[in-house]
Amino acid sequence: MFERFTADARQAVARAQHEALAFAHPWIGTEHLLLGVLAADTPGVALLAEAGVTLSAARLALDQFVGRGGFCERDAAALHSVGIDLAQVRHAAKASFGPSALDRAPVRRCRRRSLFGHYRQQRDATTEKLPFMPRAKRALERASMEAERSRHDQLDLDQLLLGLLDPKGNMAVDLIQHLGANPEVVRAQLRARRDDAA
Amino acid sequence: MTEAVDTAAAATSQDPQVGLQAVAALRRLAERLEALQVDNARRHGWSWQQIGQALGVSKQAVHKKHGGR
Repeated sequence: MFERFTADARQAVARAQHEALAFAHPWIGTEHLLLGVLAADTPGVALLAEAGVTLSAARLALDQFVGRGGFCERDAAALHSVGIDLAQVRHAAKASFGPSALDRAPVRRCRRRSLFGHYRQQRDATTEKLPFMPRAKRALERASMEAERSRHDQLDLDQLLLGLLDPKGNMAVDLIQHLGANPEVVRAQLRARRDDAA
Repeated sequence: MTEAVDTAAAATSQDPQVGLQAVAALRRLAERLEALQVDNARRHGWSWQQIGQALGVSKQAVHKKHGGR
């Protein structure tokens, strides 16, 4: 799938996985791909930065929306309302079982039997490649289409960004909107810039 | 973060949104703590039978749920 990606675009995907791991998320979504792209320096990233979408701001917003290990701020607040301090529980788990033990603790997973009755190997988020969520796959496909559209052999970072700016919406688009930028305007500007350059 | 917590603390848990979200978060929290504790018990050499007894479920149930790790 990534054969046509430029070295920079591949690095962005690798960074997306690191971001997902840092958030203790067992998947790669469009939100992580966006963070991976934002760490680079491209015309598209500059456009986003002008509109207030920087790497640190996007990380903060993701922390608010989704949170670490699947507990968002609103979860923490709701737990607090019934007398449970999530921060204390995290702290206690860390004291007994090591750093970010609670967020890394796997939630129940379906064990599926494959052919011949063997159980599939369980995923280990720390060593294995994380799976892409459907919308992230869609974003990668959209990026491929962008690359074909521009008749380039290679898929670069801004094409990856265009792929993420999905009119049908995704988590990356939500984050961009939350930070006060208009994804459609960014998409149009980025397109115009690229068409000029071509 | 503290602001959000204060807001919720001020809100009564009679607000269904907060109350239900708390229940859902509690379930996930319990799942995670269970995973941590079961792993720990196994490392301490507990049998599935003992773990099941402590959790109040059958050894088969606990093994089916956690045996894959």
